[in-house]
Amino acid sequence: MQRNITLFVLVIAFSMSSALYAQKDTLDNESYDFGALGYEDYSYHDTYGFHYGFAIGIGLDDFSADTTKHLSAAHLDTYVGWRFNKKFSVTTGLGFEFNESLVSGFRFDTQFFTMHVGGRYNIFNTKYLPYVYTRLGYGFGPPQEGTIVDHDDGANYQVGVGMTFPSHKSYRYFAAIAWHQQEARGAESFIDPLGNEINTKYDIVINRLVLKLGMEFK
Amino acid sequence: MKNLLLGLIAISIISCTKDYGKVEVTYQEATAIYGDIESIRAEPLNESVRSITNPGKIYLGNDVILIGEEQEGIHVIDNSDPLHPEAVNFINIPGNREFFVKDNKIYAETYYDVVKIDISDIHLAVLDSRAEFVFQDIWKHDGQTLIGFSYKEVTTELDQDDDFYQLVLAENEIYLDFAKNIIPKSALPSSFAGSGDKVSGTANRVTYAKGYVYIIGNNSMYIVADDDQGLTTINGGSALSNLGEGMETIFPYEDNLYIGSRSAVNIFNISDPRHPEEAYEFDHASACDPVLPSDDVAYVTLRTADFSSCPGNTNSLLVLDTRNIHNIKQEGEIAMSSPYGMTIKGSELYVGEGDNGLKIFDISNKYKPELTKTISNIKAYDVIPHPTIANLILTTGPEGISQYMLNESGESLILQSSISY
Repeated sequence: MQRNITLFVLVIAFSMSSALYAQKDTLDNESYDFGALGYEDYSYHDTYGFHYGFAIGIGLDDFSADTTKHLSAAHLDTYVGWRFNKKFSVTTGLGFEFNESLVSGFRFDTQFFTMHVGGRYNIFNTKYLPYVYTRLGYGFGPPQEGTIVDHDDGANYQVGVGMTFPSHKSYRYFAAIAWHQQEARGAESFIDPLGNEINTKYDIVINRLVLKLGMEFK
Repeated sequence: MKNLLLGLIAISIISCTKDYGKVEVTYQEATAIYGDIESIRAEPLNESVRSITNPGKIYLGNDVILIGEEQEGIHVIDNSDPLHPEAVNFINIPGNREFFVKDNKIYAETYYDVVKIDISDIHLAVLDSRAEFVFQDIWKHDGQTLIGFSYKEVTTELDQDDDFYQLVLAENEIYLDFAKNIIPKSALPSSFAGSGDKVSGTANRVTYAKGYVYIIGNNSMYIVADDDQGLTTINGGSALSNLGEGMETIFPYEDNLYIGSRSAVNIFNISDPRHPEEAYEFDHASACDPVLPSDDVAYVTLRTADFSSCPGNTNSLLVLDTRNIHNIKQEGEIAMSSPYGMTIKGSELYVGEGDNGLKIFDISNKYKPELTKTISNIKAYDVIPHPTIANLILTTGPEGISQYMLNESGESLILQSSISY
């Protein structure tokens, strides 16, 4: 937990220092009345109002050189949000997250349907728009007991850094690297090489690095 | 400053990606048991009748029912009067889990050996022949031989950094009793594997075809010749190995052996019975899957109701067209509740549905079975037809076996007798 708090503090510190730095930046954009920052190639960044988007994410652990440590993660995220200005926006949304976990040598599969709220802060007002974000959510476990994945609900938390790419007036792409943390309590059975059943109960915290790619619409 | 912060964040994130928490594990702790194999071989074959406590395989003959007692032997029941079956003998076969019956002869595994036992007189079994050390790689300790494991359920909380279980799973050739002993998997006879899966019935790992006994275990098949010289191990006991994990049942039909595993049906051609050759592999969803081949058709039940030992999410009856065993086609799939064993009686296919009863299909068109009856007031894990008495079937369940007579209208089963355990 101490490491997590350290990380959180670092991210906040980074965001604040970046914001100060950005105040000195020379903007090469022009503000428009309809709430956007426009550029010479007619690309835009919206600065006010409603927006929505989606993202897909994959776990970076799957790319580890040590294949025995590969842990799959697949995330789907949808959200709607409101931009207050060119810096701040808030979001709420629904997501689905599959995470494979490895604790005590056992691999546990978890899947959650998540409701979440969050906020985003654009660090610089540049054409390629870096940002930090955070998200708090609650994941609902599988609806049926006795399935392969059998676990309770649990809170989750996500923080990340990303980049929004300027594009068409009504949509744009973004990419982010997020750190995802999820509570998980459940049970899973395994068969050992002798054919005997091994039953486990787990109460774990999943920590996962996720690469997210998405689209955002005005 | 900016780069320093970015670096710190990166390092922090990478160091925080390890999962942590508590894992409580409940497992069967296995402790190896060693014994003098020669003393075990010298034990008397016939013993007094005893109660059934841990039933295994079941055979229904003309006048006899044989019920395996896991790791100990076979109960002999006189069934000349199906209304009043009576226990008359117990055949002592230490270490036995699997057996096959043909022409009043029992072919059974016993630790590292295979024995042939004559039961022409059901009151007095006679050892006909023994093939020693069919299963190779004998494990010894202080001059004694490994003869099995004793199991004890243990619950403990593991250290979150202990990855022992994953390490063992990654090493395919390592066979472990989870907690203590690590033993090469190939070293153990199939009869040693597992402490659970007490499924009684006809699903068999031992079969007989063309004068040879075939035994599947772990991922290998062993062959023993049966001729005038008695039982003889083929090729010095070397097995066909690496046939795939999870082999569960073997069933001979014409020139082929049908082997059901948890993810496939493998067909081996035994035109040359000493050298089976794989003819075809039909992959299916991962599940427990007895196979019943018949005339140019094979029925396969896939069961995952007990998902802990039968992983997957399928419960169904598959119909396979086997006219060309090199190109098997799936003709149909029928949703089931929890299918276990099955049998064919005339133009009907009986499928045991465990706690959900018994389903009877009309297979006049063998590729398109039609459900005609569902009998739900019984528990039927396996279904065995009487070889000569029409309409008499035996079902196995968790509390015992029962013999039923199908009434003339074919609408209901009339209980004849039960043997509890």
